Amino acid sequence: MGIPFKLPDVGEGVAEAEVIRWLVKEGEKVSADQPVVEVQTDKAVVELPSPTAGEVEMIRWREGDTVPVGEVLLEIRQSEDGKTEAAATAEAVDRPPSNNLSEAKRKRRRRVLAAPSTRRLARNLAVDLHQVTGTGAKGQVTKEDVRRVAAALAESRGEVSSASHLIPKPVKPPVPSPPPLTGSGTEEKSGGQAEAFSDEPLSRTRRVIAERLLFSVTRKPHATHFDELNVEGLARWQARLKAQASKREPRIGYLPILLKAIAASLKWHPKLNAHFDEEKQQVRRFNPVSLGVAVDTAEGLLVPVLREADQKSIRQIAAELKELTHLAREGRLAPEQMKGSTFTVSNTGSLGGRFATPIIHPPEVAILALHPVEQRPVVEDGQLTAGWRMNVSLSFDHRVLDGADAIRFTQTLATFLTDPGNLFLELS
Amino acid sequence: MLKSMDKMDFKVVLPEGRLTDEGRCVWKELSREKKLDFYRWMVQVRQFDRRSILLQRQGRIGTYAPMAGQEAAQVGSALALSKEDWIFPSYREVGVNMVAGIPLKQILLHWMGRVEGNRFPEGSRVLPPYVPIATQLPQAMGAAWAAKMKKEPSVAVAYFGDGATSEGDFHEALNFAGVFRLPVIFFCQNNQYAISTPFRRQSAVPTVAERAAAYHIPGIRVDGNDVVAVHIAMEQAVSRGKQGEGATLIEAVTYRHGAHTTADDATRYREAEEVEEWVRNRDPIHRLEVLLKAEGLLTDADIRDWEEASRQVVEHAVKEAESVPAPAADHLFAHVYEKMPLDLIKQKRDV
Repeated sequence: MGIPFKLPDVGEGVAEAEVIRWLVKEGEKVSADQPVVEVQTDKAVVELPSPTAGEVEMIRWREGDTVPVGEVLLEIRQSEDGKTEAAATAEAVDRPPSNNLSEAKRKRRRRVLAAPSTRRLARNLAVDLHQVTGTGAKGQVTKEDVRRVAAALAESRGEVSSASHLIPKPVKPPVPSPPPLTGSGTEEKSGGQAEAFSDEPLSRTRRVIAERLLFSVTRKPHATHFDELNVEGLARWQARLKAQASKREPRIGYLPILLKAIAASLKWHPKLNAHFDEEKQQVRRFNPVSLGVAVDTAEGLLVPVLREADQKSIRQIAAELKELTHLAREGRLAPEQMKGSTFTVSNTGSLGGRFATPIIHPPEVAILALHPVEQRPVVEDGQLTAGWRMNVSLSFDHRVLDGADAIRFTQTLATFLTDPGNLFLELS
Repeated sequence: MLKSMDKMDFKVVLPEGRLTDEGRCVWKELSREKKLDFYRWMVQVRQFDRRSILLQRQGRIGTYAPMAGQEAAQVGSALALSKEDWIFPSYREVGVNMVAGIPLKQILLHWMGRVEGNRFPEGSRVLPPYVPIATQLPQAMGAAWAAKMKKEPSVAVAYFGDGATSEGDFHEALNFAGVFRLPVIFFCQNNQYAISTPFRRQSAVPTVAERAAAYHIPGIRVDGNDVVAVHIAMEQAVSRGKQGEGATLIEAVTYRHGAHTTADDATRYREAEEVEEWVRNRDPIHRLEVLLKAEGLLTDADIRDWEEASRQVVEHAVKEAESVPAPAADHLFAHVYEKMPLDLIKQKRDV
């Protein structure tokens, strides 16, 4: 692992910069303070000098990419003697060029012309500047442009929700009131009254989430399919696993089994295990199944990626999931650990709820929300009885998938959950 | 502005490194050590300035205000001051502070946003850098007034740029200084741009020095890139102050080679030819180097050695400053409010 060179705030309070030109290549030797990259901020084009002498190990962004301040631009392997340098060269030959690895994930985005105050307004209003047509000089985006788009977005959101009477809306529980702020002098001033409101800007993580969701919900025509799955076999098998659990073998919950069943189902329905390229209007189907698993953290929803879930055992999935969830909650996920998913699973199981309209994680084409596994009254052979059921909500990009695809997928999933024995049939 | 370079009160070293006629008399009076001091300090200051810009680009210090090009104005004036004199610097006075004995480590810590960077050595009479424009002028005037009342043999110097002359504080400070004949020196480095606003868009009067007449104090205009001329002007002002003759306004006409700060792009408002002229033909260090070599006081080997020694000094300071342990995150909330507002209390709790 080389020394990471993070994009510094080269202006006063700039949030991001565009990579204009790389002045070095991967594998190239650099001396300390040698300029390695040219970036453009809201204010100026500047050359960034290498903080150390060594060899460029990995370049993380392409020319034209917009990089948030604090992200790693490149990694430099520090040279102390010839030995480490030789080792570094040998390794570099073996490794595929890193740019290709995540190429599919990276969207090439040109930097939009806009004043810093306009950028801030856009961030506050959750407007993606790339979606705004600038009316200023040289196509510069003005504050009016941003406000116009924000108003249009708000309006279209209103229309969508009124037209979506077919889709049940999630019923939110009453919002718990925030804990009162303590130790403030202003409370006395206003006669013992607590403040009527408090303003809180979005955190950086939350802003990224906001931008991505807005893009997805405004660009992808979402449709959501709800289904109730018979999970008798899953519930019984998991109960047996629980009974067998020992110190040596940690208990396996529902989620790892569900993820395995989802991976197996996606092999049958590869249309859902895909990305949609907006520019080329082209669907790329993936052979391996890499599942994004939405994790609820203090910072907001993070989506670490469980790679090649179709190739892994349930036990491996359980162990890896535990590790990823832990890292996410600690805020220690590396950016790579959140890239490259081909399908996303949002597990609301532990929190409850029956229906949801999950928003697709672009550039993917579908997302599955899992609701609690629970006993419900069911009718079997004309008799009312108790049965194990689980609801699922599957949102899909209606441009590339149809309702029938969604229904077939959840039906396949049901076969594995009604009787997990069916997973045996998928063993290679 | 180049035309107005002729309107100097006196010149010593010309841009090409030749002495003027009146300069020859002045030069003869200077000791060998003093001549070399001018040079060594300017080189040391430039090395520090260059390194600071790189450190900023690597995210190791915060926003920095480059000063390359203004070494003569800063070093020449600061070398005319003594321990008992008060210095009220703006944020660009890295060179002044170095000459005044502020350790480089402290200067770096300041640019790292560390409050420790403003803790100067015991007995130092240098104030922390003033970031708001021109607030230091009335304060320097006040310090001079105090010294006068206490009958202390010291002067107070306010360092500022041409932009500060457009502020109300400039008028107030000079007016009091004129009325009460205070031992204060208003040292203006006119680098000709207030960020991006050229001097002619700030002032109908063509020079800063002329304004002194309105306050009945002497105004001296020197080539700010002529270190000896700056030094002589400052020595005269100090001597006037200490002999009870009152305040002086000095205008040192200079040019910053780089941008206003590391967040600025000077190519957007300055012509390339203009920058080229000042960097290539009017550099303060180059002209002294030529003169010292011609006088046999400096060899190419000396230059290399001194540049290397200066680099080492800077590297050592960088190591020292970077090894200072980081403060706790909630230190961010210290020193601003006596009673913190609600939103800050909440933010501090969340840190």
